[in-house]
Amino acid sequence: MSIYDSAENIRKKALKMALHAGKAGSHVGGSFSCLEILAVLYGVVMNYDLNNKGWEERDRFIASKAHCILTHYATLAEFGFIDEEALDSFHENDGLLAGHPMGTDIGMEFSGGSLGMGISLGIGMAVAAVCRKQKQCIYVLLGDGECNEGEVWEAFMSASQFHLSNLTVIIDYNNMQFDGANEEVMSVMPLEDKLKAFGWTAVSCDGHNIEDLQKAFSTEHDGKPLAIIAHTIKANGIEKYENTPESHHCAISENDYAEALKWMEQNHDRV
Amino acid sequence: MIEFNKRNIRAWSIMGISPSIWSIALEEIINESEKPENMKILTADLERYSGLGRINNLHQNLVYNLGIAEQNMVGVAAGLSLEGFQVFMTTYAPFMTYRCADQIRHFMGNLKLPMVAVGSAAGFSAGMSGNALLALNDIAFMRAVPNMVVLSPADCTEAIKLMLAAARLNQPVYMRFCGTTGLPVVYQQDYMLEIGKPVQLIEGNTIAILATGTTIVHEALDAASQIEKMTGILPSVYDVHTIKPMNPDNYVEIFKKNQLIVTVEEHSIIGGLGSAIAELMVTNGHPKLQVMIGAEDRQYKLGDRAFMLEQAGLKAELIANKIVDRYKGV
Repeated sequence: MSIYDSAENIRKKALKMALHAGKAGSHVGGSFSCLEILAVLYGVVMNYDLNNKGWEERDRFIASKAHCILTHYATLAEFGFIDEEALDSFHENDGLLAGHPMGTDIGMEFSGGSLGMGISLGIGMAVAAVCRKQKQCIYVLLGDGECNEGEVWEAFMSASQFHLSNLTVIIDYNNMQFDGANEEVMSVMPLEDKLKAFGWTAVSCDGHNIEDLQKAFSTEHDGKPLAIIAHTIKANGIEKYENTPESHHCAISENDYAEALKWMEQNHDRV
Repeated sequence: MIEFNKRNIRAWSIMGISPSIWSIALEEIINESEKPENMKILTADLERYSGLGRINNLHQNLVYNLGIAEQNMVGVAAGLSLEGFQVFMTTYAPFMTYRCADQIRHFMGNLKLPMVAVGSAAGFSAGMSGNALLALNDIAFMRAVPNMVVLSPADCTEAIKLMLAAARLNQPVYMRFCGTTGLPVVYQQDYMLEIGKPVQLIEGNTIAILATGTTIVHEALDAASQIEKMTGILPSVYDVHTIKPMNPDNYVEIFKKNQLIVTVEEHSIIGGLGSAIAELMVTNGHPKLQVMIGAEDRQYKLGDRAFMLEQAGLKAELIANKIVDRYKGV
């Protein structure tokens, strides 16, 4: 199956989850901005073994931003970590996937939610791999709003201090945080320059373009951690909510769902 | 094997609890470990202060200095812990606890990662450096974190024993060190230490003094003999080195046998040892009059540790007077 088809399948699953959540709503905006990033990571970039999910040298994915749970679970289902039927339990009391569970058996390396922590954890994992001379790479997904957190910058400093070339951070730059556009709330730009100044290799790309993302992941970054600033659209593909602060947590109606599927068919070649 | 003999005990008390004790205990843990390569020691720009230079020179890739970035230190420790490393971390107590409160409650509380966090210069230790450096609420916070073991040694010997015990627990642990060098010795010789079980130092009657921490337990012992001189009653004295967990079985007899329960700590009387004992007494159906001696809910004049302990009534004579005053009213 092509990575484009996988991305479509993830989209369908995530939309269904959002619809299933009903009026309670879910973190739609930040999930649909990073959808192609996860598709590329799990589809092409990362090494893992479904027959041995706890394989020591598996690549690790840490969702530091955590507000991507629709896409994260849908991706895990698409690539065989969890059953598709389990997806509906993500918003049920005490459901299998409720409240960000954790465990290699379901492909969840970390249960986050409090922003800024995942990148530090990823650095610990990267140091562990270096010490044990293991080959795994650590991929950490950060939100652009999350980069307001001081811990993120503490972590940026330490990753280059420890020369962690096995660490890649992807910043889902959808230019939107809870209260509005980044530059109106708390700008983090110019991120690429800042990260380079912090001793990282940093590149920018179109975070919805699969080829562009693949190219970014293959950037040479010998001896340095790699940062990919993926320019994205919050709630990409759900036009009613695209680029709106409301999309941070919102309900998806039957009509929204149908519209989003229509968008997907029309934009099949866009990515 | 580390020897708990008189010579070592005296040497440790002179060297002081921070930085040296922590590194002595760590060296022992490293030497006793079957896989020392599975250990990591993290600090936030306190490698020299924490006595880690020697360990860093002896063992490659064991000590990591995260710079003045405590929150990241706790997160990195969590990543290492998740990968199966045994992780110890240290910085000054106020930064280890208050500054990293969110990281600690998530990584150590929610995710139960068995990291050992050591807060140095706790209590009134850093009074000369200003009240931002005091840690008078660290126990209150740490004991409210689910799964956390909270330890508070009475002297340098006990600090080493607790560190060794903590390394075997495989649970999240917080240990606070108060004071620096030249600390009074409570334990002149080797003794049995069990996490969770207070050590009875004086067998008396009617009044039970439950004390915790360096200097403080020693002052409580002095206070007991002063009380005996003043009233003819010799109080029992206990060293409460484990603030959490507190098994009621270890305390019910103390509550039953005595008329007055006294808690003494270099910590706020809100949420510390005093609160823990009060909760235990009441919820186990043995309410007794309790005197809580510790930092009150106010600001103190700043100065060295002895000056500050005196203001909080944590000197033997002040402890004795307060207890006798309250006992008269019983």
